[in-house]
Amino acid sequence: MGWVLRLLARFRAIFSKSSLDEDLDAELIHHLELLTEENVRNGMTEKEARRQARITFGGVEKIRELHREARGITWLEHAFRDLGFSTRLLWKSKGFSFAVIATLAICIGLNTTVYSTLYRLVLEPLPFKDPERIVHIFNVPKSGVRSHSSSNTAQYLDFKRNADMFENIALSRMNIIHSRPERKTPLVVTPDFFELMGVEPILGRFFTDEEAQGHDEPFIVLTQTTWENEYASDPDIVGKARGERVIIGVAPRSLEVLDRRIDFFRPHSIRDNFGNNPRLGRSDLWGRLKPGVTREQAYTQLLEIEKRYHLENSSVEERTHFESIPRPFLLGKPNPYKARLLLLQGGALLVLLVGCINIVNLLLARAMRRCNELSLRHSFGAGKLPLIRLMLCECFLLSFCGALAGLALSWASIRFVNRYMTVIDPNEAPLQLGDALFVSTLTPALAITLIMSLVPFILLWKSGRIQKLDRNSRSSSTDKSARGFGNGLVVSQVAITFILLVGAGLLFRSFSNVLSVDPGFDQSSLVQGRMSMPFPDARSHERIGLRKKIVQTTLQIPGVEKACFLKSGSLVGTQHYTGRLVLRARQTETERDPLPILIMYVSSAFFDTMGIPITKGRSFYEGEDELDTFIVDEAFVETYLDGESALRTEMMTVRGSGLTPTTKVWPRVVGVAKRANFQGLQERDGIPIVYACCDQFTDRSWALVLRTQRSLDPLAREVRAELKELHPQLNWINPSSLDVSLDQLHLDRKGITLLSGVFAGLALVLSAVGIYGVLLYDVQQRQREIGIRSAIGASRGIVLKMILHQGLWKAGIGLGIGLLASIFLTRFLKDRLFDVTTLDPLTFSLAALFLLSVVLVASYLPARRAVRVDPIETLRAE
Amino acid sequence: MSKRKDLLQGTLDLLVLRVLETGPRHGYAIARRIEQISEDVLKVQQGSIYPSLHRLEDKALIESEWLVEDGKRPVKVYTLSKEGKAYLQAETESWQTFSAAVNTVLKNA
Repeated sequence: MGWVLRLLARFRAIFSKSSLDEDLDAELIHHLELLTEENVRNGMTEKEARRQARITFGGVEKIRELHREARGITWLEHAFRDLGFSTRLLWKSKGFSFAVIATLAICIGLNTTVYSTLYRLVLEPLPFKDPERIVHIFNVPKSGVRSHSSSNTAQYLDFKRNADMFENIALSRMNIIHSRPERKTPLVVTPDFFELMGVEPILGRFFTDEEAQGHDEPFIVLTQTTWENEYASDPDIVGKARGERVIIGVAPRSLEVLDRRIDFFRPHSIRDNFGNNPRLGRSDLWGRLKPGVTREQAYTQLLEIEKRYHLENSSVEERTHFESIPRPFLLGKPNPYKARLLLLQGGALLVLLVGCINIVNLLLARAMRRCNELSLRHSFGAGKLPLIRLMLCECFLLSFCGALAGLALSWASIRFVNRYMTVIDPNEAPLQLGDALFVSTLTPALAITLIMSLVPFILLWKSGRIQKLDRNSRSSSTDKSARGFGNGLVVSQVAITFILLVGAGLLFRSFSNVLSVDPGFDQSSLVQGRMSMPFPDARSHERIGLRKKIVQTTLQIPGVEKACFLKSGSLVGTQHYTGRLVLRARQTETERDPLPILIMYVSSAFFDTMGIPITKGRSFYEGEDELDTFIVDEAFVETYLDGESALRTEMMTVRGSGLTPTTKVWPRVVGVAKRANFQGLQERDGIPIVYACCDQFTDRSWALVLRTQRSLDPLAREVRAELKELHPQLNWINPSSLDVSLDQLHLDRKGITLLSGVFAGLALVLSAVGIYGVLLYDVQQRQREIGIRSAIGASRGIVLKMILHQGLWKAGIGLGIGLLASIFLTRFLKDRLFDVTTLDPLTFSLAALFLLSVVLVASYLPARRAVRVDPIETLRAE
Repeated sequence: MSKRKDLLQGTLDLLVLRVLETGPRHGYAIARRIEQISEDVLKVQQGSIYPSLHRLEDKALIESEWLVEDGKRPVKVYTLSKEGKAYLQAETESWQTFSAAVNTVLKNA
């Protein structure tokens, strides 16, 4: 306890310094008076008595100092004093302070933003109990092309009974009704789902098995968000009705990570209504592994169960094509962004590196300029530690301000990122500032700057310049090591900048290459939108009639030139069906390993409407059956037919399971269309497309594509009005211009290209500042030398050349190193490049040229200053 | 003058405590008392007892109090605390052991 009081007393002492000093003074004065009185009594004169008293007493000032030291935490006082002092000093050299703070702010802001995004989208662990044991089980076709199939109750029950590697197995299904966005979205889950995820209700309870018998049981569990937004966090919500259903509980927010669209939960039937049914369905199968069980082990067990099922239940023929393998995947974030974000993070870190180098360089130059001041302090008794304390204090102030500015910057840029978050992933909650993660990025940033701040000082101390108070050692060789270090910094800066420039250059060329790809169709005046025909009861052939009527009606609208429809919800901006194909000519081979294709079901008017030329054969006839004919694109001919004539090629699609079973007649190719890139221009070399005619399809949902010169909004209004007349429930959903949709497909490439350009630009500016700073410092230091040189006849040209030479020489070495590093590093960009090799000579040479010209300018400015040196002035100053 | 010796490091605290054991005193009185008792052998620069006093006060071995009498300057008076007494006793013993040991070595070696 004693030490606490003492500590408190000390703190009090710091802040009540003056009153304590008065106390001491009173005590000392009293002592001196008594001494003087005694001396007077011993017969001294008044004056002599006072003098002797002071001698006997000793130095008053020293005692005061000792007293203070014994009483307060002196270093804290010193820190305050140093802080005040540093603030004044930094304020005096505003240019320097601004440069350092701005550099820091940019680097910190950039890195925290990129890292926050990376963390949220990739690194953040899921908020469940032991998420590494939760797996998502998909049925992967044996001869798999990408597609993963979901599961059904039969498979779920089978696994639940027999797979003992799992602690728990559950099903879930999302019910999204796209046509009515106002409708709430339930996640339909089996009762064991919550236990599997390891969550507890925040109110009420979750479903019981009894409540999950039928298909539409009247129980629901709310998500926390719905509970908060719709029921204002009503604590008595349990037992209340919501429509025809009863609310039995509220689930914690963590479950919303799975999909933000979930509004509430409903029980998924745990009764097997499928009988002897294929195991594929529409529900997602989840499993929680027992502790210590690997995914590989679980996979082996599921495989065995699945094999036994197929042996017992399927005919041999069905099995050949039907078999798919249940495969557990680690529940993680589906991550298409990982590679891209890591790339960006790499770029941001390189910028940080350039920034750090710049700061060290600036600090070094400043420290050298302050050498005289520092050595003066040293000779007045400031030891190594106080000097370090002073430097640290300055850098702390700088990095603190830099970090603050960086925070502000990342606050702004995170808001910017959030604007695009819905484009990146509608499923993600917006990023937020102030996560614990923030501390984890800022702390190292501060630590790095503090360590960096010491480097210049240590260099100077080692070179012995501070210890010697020698005004004439200005351009002497003592600071050679410091200058060498500075040169090294500039070289590495140039090298890193070159790497970033090359990276940005390659990405930029790829982007422009992508944009110059021919989309293969006339995208300029096309509008697409989804159509949903709301007649569950209408007989299927009536739907065909209604669709025909809709198309005809829209064609009547003035300004609409052509119209067609297709099976998928939209043409651009959606994933089209990937399928597999067997060629009759190479049946055994292709049956074993079917050819991956993109299959598009389009109406007969499609090619005409889209402006896709048919290069061989014909387009679809109206009303043609999908089972009779195909049209393939040129990529198909090149990839699978070795450029041979495609017409009359017989082929058949493999449907999830096996060959289309309804017919024994092989459909034929009747035409070859020009390659069209609906999934983005970079898909030029993607999977070949096979078109089938969907005139006879009876689907309720399809996309209507119109060719028109009119602008979107009035057209959409008019189309909707016409549709309403046909049937009050018809609607044209999300009409969009194809141009815009196609552009959006390139948003991500555009974003990365833009950002890499920004990174390279920042690095370029920073290194230009670095080179400028170092050369300028050099010129200042060598003023006397330059003065003498010009006094003995060196022309301006020679001086200019001398300084320029210095800058270019460093840049040259940096360029060389950067070149070697780039040759190695650009391979990481490979997946992002389009029609550009990783060693594209044009990009490399342009980057080098650009960098060199910037260096030239950055060195010319200090060189000009050197030329202006007046020899007489300089020599007189000495 | 040659008889006067500088104080051994750290012993001043001990002397101050011993002086205060005889009763409360102010700084000047303490300094004078040390000089008198040691018959001016121990040279104490009078000012240096103040850091010592504050150190001891900081360790709670002594307590201080401002004494105000009418018409006079207030005087800061120091008193030995309970901890101070115990500390003084322990230190005195260890000092005696130490000096006895040194004496023995000096005599017999």
